Amino acid sequence: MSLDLNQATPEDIRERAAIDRSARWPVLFFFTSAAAWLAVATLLGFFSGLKLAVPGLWEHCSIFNYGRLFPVHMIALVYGWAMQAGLGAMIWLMARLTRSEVRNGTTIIVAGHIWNFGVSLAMLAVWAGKGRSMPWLDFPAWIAPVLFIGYLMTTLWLIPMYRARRAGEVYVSEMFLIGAAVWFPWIFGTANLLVGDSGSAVMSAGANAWYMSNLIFFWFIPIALGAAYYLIPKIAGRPIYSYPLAKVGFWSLAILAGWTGFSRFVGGPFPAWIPAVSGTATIFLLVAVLATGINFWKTVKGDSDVKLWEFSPTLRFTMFGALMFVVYGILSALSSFFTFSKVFQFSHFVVGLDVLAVYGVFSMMIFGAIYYIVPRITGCEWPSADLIRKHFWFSTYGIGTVVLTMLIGGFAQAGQMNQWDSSFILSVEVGSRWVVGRIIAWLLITFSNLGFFYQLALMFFGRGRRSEGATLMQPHSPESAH
Amino acid sequence: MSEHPGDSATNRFRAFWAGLLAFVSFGLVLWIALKAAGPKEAIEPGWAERADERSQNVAAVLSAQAEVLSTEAIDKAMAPTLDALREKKAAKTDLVVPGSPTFMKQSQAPAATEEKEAEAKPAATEEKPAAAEKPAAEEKPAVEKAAAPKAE
Amino acid sequence: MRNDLWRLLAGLGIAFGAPWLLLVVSPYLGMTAAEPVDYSADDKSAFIGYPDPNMNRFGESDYGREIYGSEGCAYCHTQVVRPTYAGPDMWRIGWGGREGQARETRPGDFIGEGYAYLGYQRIGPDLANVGTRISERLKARGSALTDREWHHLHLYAPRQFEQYSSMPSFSHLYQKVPAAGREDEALALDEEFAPESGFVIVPTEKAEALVDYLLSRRKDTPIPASMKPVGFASSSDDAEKE
Repeated sequence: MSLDLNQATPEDIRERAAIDRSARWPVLFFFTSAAAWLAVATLLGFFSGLKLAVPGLWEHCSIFNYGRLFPVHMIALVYGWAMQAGLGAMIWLMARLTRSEVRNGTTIIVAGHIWNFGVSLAMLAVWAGKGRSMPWLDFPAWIAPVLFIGYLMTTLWLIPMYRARRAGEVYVSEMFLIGAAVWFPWIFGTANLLVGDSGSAVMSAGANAWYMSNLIFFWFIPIALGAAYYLIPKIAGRPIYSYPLAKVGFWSLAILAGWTGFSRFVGGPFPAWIPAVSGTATIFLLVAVLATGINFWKTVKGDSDVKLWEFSPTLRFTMFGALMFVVYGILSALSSFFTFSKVFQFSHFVVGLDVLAVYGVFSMMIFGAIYYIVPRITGCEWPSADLIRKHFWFSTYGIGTVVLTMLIGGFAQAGQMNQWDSSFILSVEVGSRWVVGRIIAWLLITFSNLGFFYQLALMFFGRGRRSEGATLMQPHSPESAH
Repeated sequence: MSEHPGDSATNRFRAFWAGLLAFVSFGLVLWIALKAAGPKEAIEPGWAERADERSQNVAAVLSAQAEVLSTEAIDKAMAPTLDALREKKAAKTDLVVPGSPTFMKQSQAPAATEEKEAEAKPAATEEKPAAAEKPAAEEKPAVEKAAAPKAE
Repeated sequence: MRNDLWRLLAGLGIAFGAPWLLLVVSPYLGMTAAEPVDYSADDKSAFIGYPDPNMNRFGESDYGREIYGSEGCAYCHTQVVRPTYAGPDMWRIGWGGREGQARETRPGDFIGEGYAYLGYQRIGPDLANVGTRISERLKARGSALTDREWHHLHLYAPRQFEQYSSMPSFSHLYQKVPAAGREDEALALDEEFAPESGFVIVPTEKAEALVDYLLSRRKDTPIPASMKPVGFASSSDDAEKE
């Protein structure tokens, strides 16, 4: 069946090669445009942090105001990089899982151009001062249909692909990917109809917070998990440690995640049950998060002492992302409690948590997928293991820096702000020291991705290493296995 | 294609439209619900033209409020109170903290005598802004309100 | 095979539809129907209703709200005063409203406004009650500035008031004009920030609208007794007993 990991017949190999060939140009298009947007996003992250710490810099140029740079950075990161990387991975994974070739490659590439056009419009509109200060939905309302159409033209094909798939049980990755495919239009459509100039000012703002959380739990995380559930068993050469647990994880995510989001406004002007329900759902989700983490860990570790993640770049990125997933789940659950949110709500920590979700969890797991997928669709291997190592370590340092400094900085800033009889400016001063951490983190992340861009460009032009063996992080020999 | 028994042009066609329907379902339902809920209350016509009238209303309301809540009266009351507080030296008090061992002992004894003694000593020894349960708070509402917002 | 797809989509639809309907759409539709609540004679309030439509929108404040959004203000400023179980916001002077009137922000406070900029982070102070806070502070310090002037100065040169403020300068909302005849509109800038002599900085229409919006930020209108839970003892009841 589809889980025969070690016995690949010549027919299987030919079939896989045909699938990979059919997916080559659409998937590469999404990965390369995503990478370009990542470069833009990380630089903007650096500059927005800089403007926060040194507001007097270029202060008479409105386009360099923090209030413009930060939303533009978020748009580039979320819609430019993260969504396109996810779409590329989705297409290849579904093609492989359903054992069917990608038939609408040209349409998908056109759709990708439409998506890029929409993201560029969104960025320019917000940068020029037509934004709306609504996190992740800043762009003027008329741009949403452009993005929606681009998305539709890309992912609609996944449904017939699923329908026409090979006989047998549905694998959990397919469920995650089909889930993500339908969840995004549901939440994006709902959010764009409710958020903005509307009949209920407060619920509109609440729907914005709901959208942010749902985008993370209903699009970014399902794609990352779908990729991980496919790639980890393949590389480890073992089936998933507990497959029923994986399905339980999927359905608990499907049932719980829609309730999350409003806990961003705990204590806010909502009927008290709304943020409370969101907080509870986030806490329950922790069970699914931990179960998934344990599942991955047990699968990778298996019975042997070999630390596979030291060799395989894919596994290393994916396992790190999975670890960040557990950290994110714990921090999100903690922020649902008043004790925690009394201090961390509205502090610098908010940014740390959002960046953890988009970069620490999703992006790291997608890098893992990209390092696996691109050699297979281009027919050549990554040229330099050294650059992959740099990419991994500097990204790790970057995400660690931003999460830690924003956690500690948020604690310091809000702790000072909570001294209600002291002047507010003290909290700003205390916080700005930690904003430096944000600047350094984005610098590290930008640097980490330089090697990635270079290698991806080489692979795109087919200039990778011609080799039978995969590029590993360390040379693998029988003696070094222990 | 024997491994793909479900794959046929018809199935793909149907799945495509099913998928499209699934994708737009929630958005469509919401759009219809919003239309059914009626148009958003429009900004009244002539809202901008009546701006002066509104500003005058606001000014009238604010001055009426200022008349009711006089900051001078508060300042006048505060000054001697603060002086009196400053002059009072810290001393041992007869007030008993609820829940303390002394309190527990006294609550065995008849409670009536304790209540009379407590009323005679006003909030002079209170340093921190008190919550509403202290009886002395009602006598000096202006003083207490200035120190801490009353949570409702 | 076909059943798989439909079963999966149906399962996902139901699992998503429950929170979609119960947590998002129904509360949203319910709150669109909310109307201001009139005060009864018992409430002894100078306002005409909760919220008072003259208070939370005036002048060009709707346009000002759009500018507030497009300048990204909500990324650094919140408009949420949390109740005491969620944070010590109300103890901060002026954050919850005027002295004696401070309270947490409630859903009804935003009725009639198109969007509530509840905010993302608090890099700057909460603005839910900035409309009253600035004038009270200026009066307490005996300043010659009106609150309108203060806001214009603060938007143009935040570091005139606080050296370490992280707030950007919104100088693109102002224009430099020759001083002749425009002195009364001119911003009273310190030497460090003022333009060269013969020129003054005056607000544009956008800046005036933004300041209208900021001055309309007041969320301390009293809650009518009809909206309070039954049996709730409040300070106004105690005052009546005297």
